[in-house]
Amino acid sequence: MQSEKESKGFSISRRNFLKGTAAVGTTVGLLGVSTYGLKWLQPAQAQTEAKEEPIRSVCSPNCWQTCNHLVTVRDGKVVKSAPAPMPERTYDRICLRGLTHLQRVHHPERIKYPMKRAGERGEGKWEKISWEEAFNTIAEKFSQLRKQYGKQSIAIVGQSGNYGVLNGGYAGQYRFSGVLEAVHATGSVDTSLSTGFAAPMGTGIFDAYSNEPLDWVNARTIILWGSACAETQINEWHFIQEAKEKGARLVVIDPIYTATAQKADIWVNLRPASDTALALGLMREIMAQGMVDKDFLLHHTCAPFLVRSDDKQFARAEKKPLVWDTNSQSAKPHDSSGIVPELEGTHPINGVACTTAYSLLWDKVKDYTPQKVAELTEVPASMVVEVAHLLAANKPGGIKFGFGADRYHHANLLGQAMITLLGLTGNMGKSGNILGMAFYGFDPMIYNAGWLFPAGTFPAVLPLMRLQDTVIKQDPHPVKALYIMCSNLLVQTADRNKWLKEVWPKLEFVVAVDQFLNNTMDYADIILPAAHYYETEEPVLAGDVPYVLYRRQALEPLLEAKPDWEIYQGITTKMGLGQYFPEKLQASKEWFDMPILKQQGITFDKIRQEQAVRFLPNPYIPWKDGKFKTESGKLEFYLEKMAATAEELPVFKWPLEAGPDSKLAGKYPFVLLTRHEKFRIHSQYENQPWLRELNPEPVADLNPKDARAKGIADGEMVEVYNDRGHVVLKCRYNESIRPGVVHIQQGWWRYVAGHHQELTHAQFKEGIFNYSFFDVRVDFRKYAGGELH
Amino acid sequence: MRQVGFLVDVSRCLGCRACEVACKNYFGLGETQRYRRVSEVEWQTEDGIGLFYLSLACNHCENPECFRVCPNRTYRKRRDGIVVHDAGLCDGCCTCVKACPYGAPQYDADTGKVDKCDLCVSRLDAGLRPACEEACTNDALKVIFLDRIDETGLLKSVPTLPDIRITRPSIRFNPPVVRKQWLSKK
Ligand code: SF4
Ligand code: SF4
Ligand code: SF4
Repeated sequence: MQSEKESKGFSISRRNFLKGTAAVGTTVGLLGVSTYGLKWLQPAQAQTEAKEEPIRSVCSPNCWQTCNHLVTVRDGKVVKSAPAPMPERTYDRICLRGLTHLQRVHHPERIKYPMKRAGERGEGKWEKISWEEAFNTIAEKFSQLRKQYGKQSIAIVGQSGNYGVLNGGYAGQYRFSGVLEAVHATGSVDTSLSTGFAAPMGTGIFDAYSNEPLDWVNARTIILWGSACAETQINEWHFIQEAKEKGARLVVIDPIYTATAQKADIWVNLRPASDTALALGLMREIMAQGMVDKDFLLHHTCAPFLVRSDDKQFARAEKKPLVWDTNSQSAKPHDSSGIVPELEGTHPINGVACTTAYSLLWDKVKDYTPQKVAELTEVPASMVVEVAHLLAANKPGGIKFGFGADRYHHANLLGQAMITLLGLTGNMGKSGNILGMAFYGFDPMIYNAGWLFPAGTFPAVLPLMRLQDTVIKQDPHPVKALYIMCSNLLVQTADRNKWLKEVWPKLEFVVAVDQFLNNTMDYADIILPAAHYYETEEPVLAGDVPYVLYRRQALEPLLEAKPDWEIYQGITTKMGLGQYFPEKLQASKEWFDMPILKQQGITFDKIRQEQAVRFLPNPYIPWKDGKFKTESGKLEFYLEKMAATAEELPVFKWPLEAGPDSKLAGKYPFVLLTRHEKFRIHSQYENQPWLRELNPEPVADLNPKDARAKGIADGEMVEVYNDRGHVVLKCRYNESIRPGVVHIQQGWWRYVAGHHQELTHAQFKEGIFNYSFFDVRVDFRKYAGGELH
Repeated sequence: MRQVGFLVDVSRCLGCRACEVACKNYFGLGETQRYRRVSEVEWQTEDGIGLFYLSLACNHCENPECFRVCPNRTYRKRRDGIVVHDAGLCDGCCTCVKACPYGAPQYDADTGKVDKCDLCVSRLDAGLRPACEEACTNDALKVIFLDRIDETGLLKSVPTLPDIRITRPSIRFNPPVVRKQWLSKK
């Protein structure tokens, strides 16, 4: 602590709480990036004149806020973005990133035309080609590879860059890979925690399982678990704020003292990767104190289901799980009328001892006393008790997770623990409940899966993190070519050196589609300029808003950029498959051909006119009838199919590297956390001048104690390294980082040397393919230039 | 006297800087000018460190120093209290930059002139909200009519705001919530 802080009273922060700017009264200093010649803006100042008609678009990167923007275009230039009025005005939204779109659209570094590689891969030498030549080259190469090695020699690679139906990574892209019968490599991010969380409800991992945000204001206890909501989902924050103003208590569970944690009533500063131990501790306390919602457990969960001791499956009669009826003192199907199921106990059925799922859960958690949890998590025992009591007694409430806690090897168990915890406290189906995350556009009721495969042919879907080994071993698919879109692959996936040293040499052909020459484009053979959100018209999958969304085109694609859909049209036409990519309005109309819209009389014309149309009841509160989508209709927190790996109930295991038990802990004493913050959505907006002013360059945030111990001063260059690679960047003293942690904001494209994704690994848990980006150990040292690690 | 001003809820503010970027967006500002700036303020309490965010632009003061000192008479106080600056008359002497206690006037190295927040007068005149307020979906920033609101419970200053007695800024604050902060003093 600096000496000026010793005195009481106020002062301007110099402690770098993840901040990026100067203090009151000082003008901005010189920053690392020029705002280029942005003076072109000046003659056309952004005042939206009364007579100007802004166009309504949708911003749709993977913050899943899907903000509707009013875009003012003057003389062919975007001059202003503003929040568009939503059907419920509480969902009017925008953020600092979305407000910079005019700089992105007109950025001097936008890729202007298709190009082919003129030097070695990575050398950065390009030659302009026409779209005609690009389409011909791609179609010819794809056709040749298909003939020589089969259709699955081509992999279409996608991530979350755009929620647009035609041009994004979640619908149109499948249509392209399906028509080509190519490998479709996607996912592997944000999927472990949600797998464990969703399975007990019987839903998909990104289904509409939570109450919508406008109802969150009725919560009395809100737990944000590994979520930096106040920075990453800025537009969800005000609902939480309103709940707080009505008296709700906010608990933030995060090993970093984020801007979100600063707003908490209770900040649970836990040791990285110890989250599941905390969850088990919360369950134990709630069960031990008899604070469970017994009625909910007995009637709406698998708690009373009898589990066979031999095969660990539910005891069943006529396929129905059995419970012990205390009235008749016999086992009865769980949905029999007139029974009073027993919550705890063991009974022999046909000679096999059967125990209730609740009792088995107690066996798993009973050792996680507050004291033991305190040892594992470094959270005070009294705080574990306090949080447990809040969740169980100060109802309604819920848990909103972010994906910070998802970035470790066994995160599925944490997800399962969270939903079990919520089941124990019985908040579901009630106003004021929060179940994980609000996410609406991907639910089967509003996601038109039939639209994806018009040819009746399908892609071979491959979890993205298996792509490296697939290419290296040419197994299970002989992948020779990548077509990368909606993805900054080499910045947003792990083990970058493996990509470049082992995967890339095996690739005959790499096409990459983007707006900027980011660090993935460097290694492509053909690069294609993609249109910006504002330059396209299409349906957009909703994130956390309960609407169908439609984006209108605010301006023609600049330079030679094309929407991805038109690129598919160009390539497939050359391959004789163009009939599956009709004109965009036709394709959009077909997308909206869904029962849930028809039933409500929501036509394509209405959607195209209004652009945001509610399709869910207001307020949307699922599970009101207490029926889940599992076979039994109950919340099955006991997962029978996981019994083989002894994970039928949530258990705590340290992950691969980040735990204190790791073999690497001695050699690499620091855990690397690469979290999201407010200046980017993944790697998008990285080169936006207005954002660079606030956040000029990558830094390694270090607790000053850790840095001083190595003789490193604030602002000095450090090399962060492990056996897989290294990254060189400036050190920033930051007391919001706990000792033992190195923090680097994720999404930076380039560093002085190396890359943070060289440090990460792509090891996955069988059946759960998810990058464990935080499950990484490193060390760091002063960097003096010269020889690199 | 009519007086338009800002109401800032420093505890509600997230420090997200949407207001700041919206301002840049609206005025098309380059890197040297930030009419609105968000800073962090922290204080030491018995429990630990308290913290809030402070989003500030021009305060359209009742006694504007900028207006008093400018040798070129570029500043004008409108009937509604908004202080506007005519960059056309400005020769970039920066007297106002030095005189304003709040760092509101900002020098633009490219044009050699100063300019500042005009409370989006052309938007207000057209019945629209200022760009910063519109972008704050968290409702931490509001435009108010000081002559019309009840000021009970509002503060005229918050810690770190320069002395308000000189210019009488047209800004009010909801009192900061002094919540326990969790990083303790060493
Ligand atoms: S980046 Fe996300 S939060 Fe920001 S405007 Fe776009 S959709 Fe909204
Ligand atoms: S937009 Fe609102 S919440 Fe964000 S920094 Fe500005 S005043 Fe604060
Ligand atoms: S804040 Fe500064 S520039 Fe604005 S009116 Fe007051 S003295 Fe003038």
